[in-house]
Amino acid sequence: MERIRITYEKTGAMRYTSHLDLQKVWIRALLRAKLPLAYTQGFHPTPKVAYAWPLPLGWGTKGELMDIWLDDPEGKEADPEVFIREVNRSLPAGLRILEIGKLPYSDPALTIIIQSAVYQIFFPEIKDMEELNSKMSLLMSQEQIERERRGKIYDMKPLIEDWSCGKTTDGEIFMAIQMAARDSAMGRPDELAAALGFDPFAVNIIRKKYILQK
Amino acid sequence: MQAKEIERILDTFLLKIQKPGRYVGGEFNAVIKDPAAVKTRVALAFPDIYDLGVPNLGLSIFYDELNKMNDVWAERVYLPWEDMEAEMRSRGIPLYTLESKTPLKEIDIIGITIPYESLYTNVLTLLDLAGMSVFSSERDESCPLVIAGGHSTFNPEPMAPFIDAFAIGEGEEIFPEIIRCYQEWKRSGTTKLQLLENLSHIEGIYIPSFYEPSYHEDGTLASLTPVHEGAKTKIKKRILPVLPEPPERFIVPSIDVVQNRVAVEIMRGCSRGCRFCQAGFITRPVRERPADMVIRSLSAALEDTGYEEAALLSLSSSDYRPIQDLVTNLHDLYQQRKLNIALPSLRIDTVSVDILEQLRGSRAGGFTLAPEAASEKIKTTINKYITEEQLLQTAEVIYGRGWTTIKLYFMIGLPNETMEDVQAIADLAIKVIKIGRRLVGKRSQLNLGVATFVPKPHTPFQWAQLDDPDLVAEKQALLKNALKTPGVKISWSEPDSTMFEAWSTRGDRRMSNVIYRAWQLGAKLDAWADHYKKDAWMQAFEENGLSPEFYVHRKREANEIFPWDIIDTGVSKRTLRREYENSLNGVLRPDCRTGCYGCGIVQAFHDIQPEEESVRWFCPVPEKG
Repeated sequence: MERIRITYEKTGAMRYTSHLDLQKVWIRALLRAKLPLAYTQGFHPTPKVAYAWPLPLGWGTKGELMDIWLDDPEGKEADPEVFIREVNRSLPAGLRILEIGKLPYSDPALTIIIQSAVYQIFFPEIKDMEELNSKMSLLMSQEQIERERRGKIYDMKPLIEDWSCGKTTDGEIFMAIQMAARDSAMGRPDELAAALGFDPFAVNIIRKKYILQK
Repeated sequence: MQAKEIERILDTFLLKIQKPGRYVGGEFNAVIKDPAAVKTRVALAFPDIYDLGVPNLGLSIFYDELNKMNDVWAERVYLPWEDMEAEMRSRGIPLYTLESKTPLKEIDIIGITIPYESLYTNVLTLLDLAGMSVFSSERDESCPLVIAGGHSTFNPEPMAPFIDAFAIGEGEEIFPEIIRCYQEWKRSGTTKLQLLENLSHIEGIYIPSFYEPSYHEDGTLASLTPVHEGAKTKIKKRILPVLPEPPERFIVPSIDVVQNRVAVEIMRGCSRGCRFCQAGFITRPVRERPADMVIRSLSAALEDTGYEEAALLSLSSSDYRPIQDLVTNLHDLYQQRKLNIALPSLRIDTVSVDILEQLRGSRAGGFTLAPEAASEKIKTTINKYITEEQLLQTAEVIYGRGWTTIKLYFMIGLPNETMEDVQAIADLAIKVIKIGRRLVGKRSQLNLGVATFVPKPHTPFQWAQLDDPDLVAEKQALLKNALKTPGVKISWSEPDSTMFEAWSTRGDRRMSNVIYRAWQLGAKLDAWADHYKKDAWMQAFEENGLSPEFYVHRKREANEIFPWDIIDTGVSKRTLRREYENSLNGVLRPDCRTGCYGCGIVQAFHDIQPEEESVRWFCPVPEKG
């Protein structure tokens, strides 16, 4: 059996597919691509696939990770280029594999080795980068950033590991932010946007990549 | 509003909407074409939400077929749920096609499928949300041509003022003919009236504006007369003499919908002649797809979609001659893969249990059978005669082989029915659950689906009245009291939805006023029980001087002219009447494969009836002379 780590992007219409539905989309696509998927043991065997952290509905991702396990791959699966081309052909618009890599069969799970995630938050209402910069600096100057999640008060500040503001060539203002992404400490960029005083549904969030444990 | 603008605005609010994935398209197998490279753009519309529309087989067939035509681009459109409808209206977003986000009004032809009556008001919402008048007479050449088909259009009259042209019967041939006709008309640059006239020459097309109804003093129809030169006096439904290859490309949605599966029709038509069954009469003659064609297309579609579920559809699967071959081959092909194959409408016998056992490993979901009636009298009345012994034997085998749940479908409110006949359902149910208890113990379950019978057009019961609501309630209470047995669960049809179906299915053209008014008063998404607005409908009847009673509880005279008589299904009205009388006189009619009764279908379609053995119908081939 072989384990393959897939880096993919989820953009466009696919942003409106939930994590639960996405799992079905992937299984069907992998079946369409006729990969020799390994199945789980048990009464209801399903293809063995492991995802990273769920992406909230509406967010995009340019560096999402998932692991799949294959039975004795040979032929097209052996060549990464062919693999990517074949599977991409089986994917709906908005879902695309960027790269793949092999890894030891029993390496720890993604959700264990992921430390942080880097996001881009786009603010359609902001026209001036300095405005965003100063809002954020002001927020970060507080001792604590108290937010509420599912009825519990927590401090967001320690979840923010790094941040900077930027502007795309199209003039869109964004913030690049690195937040903790561990089971016990999960930074939410939409909650940061709310802390900055924005409607969290009106900002556009893209997960750029994960930072893994060395 | 342009497509680009629609797309931009959608992104600003879709996250506030339930299941936004319904409104963005982009699914696997969705067809994108260059609008500049096609001549005609078609929108295939299902007038309810995405979740129900995507699995619709009829539209899947057209989507596949029409997009194979180089100069045609067929896109899809569904009705938004009410939260989305409200957002669209407040932001001025017109209804758009999913593939290109093109406003519906800019499309050439809108093809709406109306399989059942509770979609009628949704059709009005669809047209209105597209920014068009709901009335055909108020839409000119600048609007798309609006056509409709599907089983409920076998009585087109209730929807007559809203639809430009109805396509009656099977659509695989007629749809391309409509498109060619439209293309020629477009080149000629003439009026919409001219387009409708051209279309009216196509067999199976009904142009409602070319006909006018008149009524007797008692409210019954006196005539439905052609008022346009050349309009046909009868519209004969279209059929395909030989079933074509089924579609192989199915849309694979990126969100969950009601059925995520590949569906293949193995057979069209039914020879059983159950007198309540509209599908059985309007889809004649019986035509089978060869087993190898079914397997080939099913395999291709499964590979292409990645679905792990398939359904083999027909009205009576056990009557499909190569059923055993088909099942054995599918078993051999797919026993390795976790494939779940549904084969509905099996006969009630032990062979069916063998068949289902071969098809699926899982016994979840139970085993479904539809005896419909329990007493000798009613079994004869409806012409679906399954002996009690046969049913109990089958139940014995089902529970015996490890199924814990049996679902039985029955009907109440049938002509001639008494309380004794209803009691017989309860008695039978108790016998069945006793078998379950004996064989699988307390885990055994019997689910009874008890529907209230609604008389449908083009069936022998089209003359019958709907049962009195008080009597229906009494019958339901009887069953409820008689079946407090552990392990038995009963589900009913809602009295309101029964009434709704009853008046809309046999409505005349005046019913369109009621539909329009009820829609104005807020009736929409009528198929959703919690949305059904009874008050709106009652007010609409009253304001139009009509009564539901007239349509629902009135027994029709033998010689009454029906609004749907304009449609010729091939089965003669004389045949239907004879069958109605047989039902009242307790006369059974065996399956017509055992001998032709001359229902009329062969006479109606003799000119296209194939003679080769491999594709022959079950009807006798008349001598050609």
